[in-house]
Order: sequence, then structure tokens, then C-alpha cells
Amino acid sequence: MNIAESTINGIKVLSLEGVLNAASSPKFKAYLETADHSGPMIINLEQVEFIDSSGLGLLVRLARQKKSANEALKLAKMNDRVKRVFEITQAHSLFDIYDDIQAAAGN
Amino acid sequence: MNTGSVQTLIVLREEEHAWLQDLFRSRHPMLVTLCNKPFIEYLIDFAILSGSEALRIASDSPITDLENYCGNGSRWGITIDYAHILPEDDQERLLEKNRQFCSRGKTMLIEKTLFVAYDKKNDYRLWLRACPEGVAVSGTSGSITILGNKQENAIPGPIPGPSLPMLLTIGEYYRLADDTLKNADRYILPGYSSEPDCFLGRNVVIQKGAEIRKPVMIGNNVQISAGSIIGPGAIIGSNIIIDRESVVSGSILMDNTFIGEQLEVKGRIADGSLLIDPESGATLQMEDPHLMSVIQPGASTKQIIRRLIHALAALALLIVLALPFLVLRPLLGLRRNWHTKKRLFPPGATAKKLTIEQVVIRPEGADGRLAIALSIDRYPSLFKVLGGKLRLIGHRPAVSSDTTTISSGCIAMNPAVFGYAETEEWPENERDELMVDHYHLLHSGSLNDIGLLLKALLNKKHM
Amino acid sequence: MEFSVDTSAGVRVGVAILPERIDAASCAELQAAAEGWLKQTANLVFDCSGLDFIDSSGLGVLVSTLRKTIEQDGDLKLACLGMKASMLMELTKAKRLFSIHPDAVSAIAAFHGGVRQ
Repeated sequence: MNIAESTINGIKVLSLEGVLNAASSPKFKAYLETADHSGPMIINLEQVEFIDSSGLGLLVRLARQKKSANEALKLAKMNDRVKRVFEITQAHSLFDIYDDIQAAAGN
Repeated sequence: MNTGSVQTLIVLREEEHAWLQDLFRSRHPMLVTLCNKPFIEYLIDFAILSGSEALRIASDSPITDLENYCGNGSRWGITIDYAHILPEDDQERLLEKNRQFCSRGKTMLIEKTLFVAYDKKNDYRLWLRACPEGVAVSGTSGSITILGNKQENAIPGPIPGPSLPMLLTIGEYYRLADDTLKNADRYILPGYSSEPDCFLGRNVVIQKGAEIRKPVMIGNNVQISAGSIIGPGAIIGSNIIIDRESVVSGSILMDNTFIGEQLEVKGRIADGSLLIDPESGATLQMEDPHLMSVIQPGASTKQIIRRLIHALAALALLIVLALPFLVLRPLLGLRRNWHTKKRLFPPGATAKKLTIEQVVIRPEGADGRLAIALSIDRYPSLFKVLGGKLRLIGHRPAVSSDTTTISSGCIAMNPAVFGYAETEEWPENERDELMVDHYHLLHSGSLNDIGLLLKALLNKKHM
Repeated sequence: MEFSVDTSAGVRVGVAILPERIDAASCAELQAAAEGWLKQTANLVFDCSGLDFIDSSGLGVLVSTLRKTIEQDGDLKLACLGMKASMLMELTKAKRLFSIHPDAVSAIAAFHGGVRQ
């Protein structure tokens, strides 16, 4: 899994690419822990091919952290496969989900 | 950017249609049928009639079954996709979240609406073009808003638009169904119709001596036995058996309903074993399967194999753990570290309930810790897997609470000895656990189940 | 089950208050009690105000009790029939067999003269 970082409108955007599962989520977890990732964040899921329950767990934890810090976490550009996982697990009710990164960044 | 294309955004909020959900629990409110046609299809029809090329359903609640039904829309020749919103999102937020979808051209936003009363003979493309930006139609229970429309002035005269009939009670639903059947030529209704007030589905068997009186609508796979009288004013769904000498008039039978012999269903709505009086809203949950019951589709081979594998694995565990159980159980009992808790599952449901007995072992002393490590607390429940009452691994009802809100049918139907959630480290609360359970219930096959079972046995996070 | 005999209509009318639930498990009890009441009088009123659920076996007991009262030139009248019980009786067409009254008093009064109405 690849993680690319960029900034739109002063908001950090993490673009994930590849598979987010039990094998790759430690990498993402380590990435989140190594640097300072405070402040509002957008996660671009457009290039995520697949997400499983442990990948989902990571996002849920991140959402919880952001919420307790009173910072926004938005998910953007979910493809249909990822959307379906969010839906059957009912995880969608924990996130703000946008179909457009610019809109998520409030542009 | 504004290319003149039209798209429809349907917004569904769980609380809006709660009254319908309360009555017909087994399906999404948009899949409840009116004249044998799910509500969502009336909205899709209207989107198409008004020239939409794409349709998005944005919901704040699970719509898996709605997605399975509608798919990508190819059946109707329209592109359908799905989006998620939160209950607290206002219209502005909602449009922001769907900005990319809406930016393609004019957007018709349909909110709080189950049903649009249209007439297929009208030209709603023209109507849409003439609509100024803003709320175009509003009813007591919903609205249609037009966005991104640069008004074109060239259209002369008033163009009839659709209407949104009041639909907030079961009585209103009942009258609307009657009205829709009477105005069948305005809609596209399912079934073969040689006369305007008579619709027949596929595979309808009407035995000798049964009488059909118009207006009437009958769905697919319906058997009407000898001596029965159906109609006038009967809407019979699909997968229905009406036993001999029964009368059904002025009534709606929802899909998968069995009506026993010599009964009289007049002015009622029947759904499986539930009988509803639309005028008073009173409901009667029948407990006599020979009077009324749900017709259930048989289990598929896949399900049978899965059940068998679960039973075999449970048997293996029963044998392997027999000795530790026989040694540890009396010890734990003696030291009062063995507690059982009985509860009904699923909570809140009215129909079939299952008594589940869960064991809690206090992790005190070497025996307690060993018993937990060996999952001895699950031992007594394993017998229920042999009988097919429980799954070996699936959704494990939380021991601590009786208040789990079970919003999805698949969870309710699959209580288990071990929980999928026990295979993961991260779940912190019951909601997280439900997330994992849901994930695996829909993704896991028989072989995966065995792998996950081993993971659950070895994952001692819960110790 | 509460049972009392009322003579205000000039005849002996037995009034029984039905329990909350009459189903396959509890209908035998009603059946046995009804046998006893029938020995005292064939004019019966079942007060259904507390009745919340009845199934077909319970309904069977009501119908057989009705038949026995008629055999003895009496009647079984129902009072305060709730919506659920009423729906089941309409579905099974049992409702038309019974004379149904809004309350026990009017059901008792309907026995005036001792004729089945």
C-alpha cells in the first residue's frame, strides 16, 4: 500500500493506494504514529482496491482520535467496492463521506 | 460544466420512514411494494420520465438490500450509484458531499419521499426545463427541489407536474394502493394486463372453482385454491398461497404470505404472519401457522454445507475439549467462578426467539484462566451448533448487555458461539464488534469460517 | 378466572372475565372452567376487556362453549372485544357466530327474556 500526502486549502490529504488489510494496515498505522498528524484531515480512498475489517478498524480508530481532539476527518472519493464494505459494516455512520476532494476541503 | 444533463439525487433518512419500517421489518421501506411495485421503482420511473441519466441514492442508514435490488440501474437504463450521509447533515452539507455528482448539470433532489404520483403520458422533461431553481413540488411528506437550472423561457403555458400524496400512515398507504390500482394507466405496473383493472403475474395457478373479481392485481408464483374468491380490490403479491374457500377482498397481501383455508380477509393488509387493520393501525401477529404464515424460501445448498461444516467443527471441539471441561467445570462450580446467563435472542423481535445461555467464567486462579484460554465457557453452547440452532462462528450476542440494537436481518439470523469480532484486536465497543461481524458474515465462506474460528480461539484479547 | 352470577336481567347470567392470553397452553384451563360454569347456567357473558391475545385453539374453546350454551337453550355473549381478538375472529369468520356487546352490562341486559338474539 502506498500513502501520498498533499495539502488542499491548508488541509492535509492522505491519498491511499492499493489494499488496506491485515497485512498492510500496520504500515499505515506506523505512518500515522511517526509524524504529527494533528489538524483536520481528508483521506482520499479513490485508489484503494480493497479494504477488510482490520483496515476498517484502523480508520475507525483514527476517526475516534480525531473526534476526541475535536478535529475533522473526512473520507473522499470512495469507489464502489470500498463503499460497499462501509455499508455492510455500517461504518459509514461514523464518517463524513464526500465524492469530491475539493468539496471536502471546503473549497 | 453545465452540460444540460439531468441527474436525480434521492435522499433517504431512516427516521422519515420509521413508521413503515416498524410494520414491515424484513425489508427496507423503499422496497415495500405498492401495487406489487417497490416504492423505489416509482421514483426511478419518475427520474427517467424527467430525463435523468444518472440517479444516486444517498442514505444515512444501511441500504444493502436496496442496493442488491437496484444494482447499477441497467435494468431501467439509468446509471444508479449510492452514497452515504449522516443523519445530521443539512441540505447544504448533503450537496457538498455529493458535489461531483451534482455538478454535471441540473439536479432533481428528491427528499422525504416514498412515492411520486406521476402520469406516464405527461412530458416531465418539459416540466423540469420550465421549473425555476428551488422547490418545485412539496407535499406534506416530502419535496422535489431543482438545482442548477438556468431557466429557459421558451416554454409556453403551464405544464402539469407530479404530486406527492400524503403518505405517513398505514391507512394512507392502503388508500394510495387502492387509488394506484384504480389509476393503473398512469403508472407502469407489473404483470400482464389485458384489461385496465386486472393484472396477472407469471406462474399464477388458479384452481377450478376459484373466482377472481376485478379490480385485482396478482403477482408471480401465486396459487389460489379451489373455492376461493379473490377481489374485488385485492392486491396479491408474489409467492403467495391462498388455501381453499378463502375470501380476499379489499385487501393487500404482501409477498411470501400463506393464507389458510376458509378464512376471510376483508379490508386488511397481510404480511407473512402479520395482519394489519389499515384504518385503526392495529396489528395482530398470528401464532397459528395454519391460519397465516410466512412462506420461506428453502435453504440453499451452500447454506446447508456451511451448517454441516460448522456442526463438524463443533463436534471436533466437543471431543477435544471434553476432558478439560469435565475436569475444570466442577472446580469452577465449586469456587463459584462459573456463572450462566440466559437471554432471548434477538432482543425486541416478536417472532421466532431463541434462548441463548452464555457462561461467564471469572478469571481467578489457575483453573479460571486455563478455562478461559481453552474457551471452556463456550462448551455447553457447542451442542446447539450440532442441532443447527447456533452457528459456530458468526455474531456473538454481547454478554454484558441485553440492549443490542440489531438493525440488520443477517445479524439477527446468525447468532453464534464464537464471534467474528473475537478474531480482531481492535474492536473497543459493541458497535465495533458489530462492524466486524457484519464484514465477515457477508465476506466469509465455510473455509474462511474455520480459519477465523482458529483465530478466535487463539486470540486471547478477551482474556 | 373471575366468575359471578348476575340476576339483574331477570335470568341467571354467568359473567366470566377472560385472562390476558388464551392459547394452546392455557385453553384447557378455560375449557375446564367453562364446564363448571355451564352447570350453573347456560347464559354466559365473557368479558374480554383484559384479553390481549387469543389463538385458534382458544377460539375453538369459545366456539365449543357457545355450542354447548345453545344446546341448553342459552347463549354465550362476548363483551369488550379488543381489536386483536376481533381481527382474529373476523379472519376466521367466528365473529358472526357470537353476539358482541360493548360492555358486560349491555351483554347482561341482552339476556332479558332469556331468548337468544
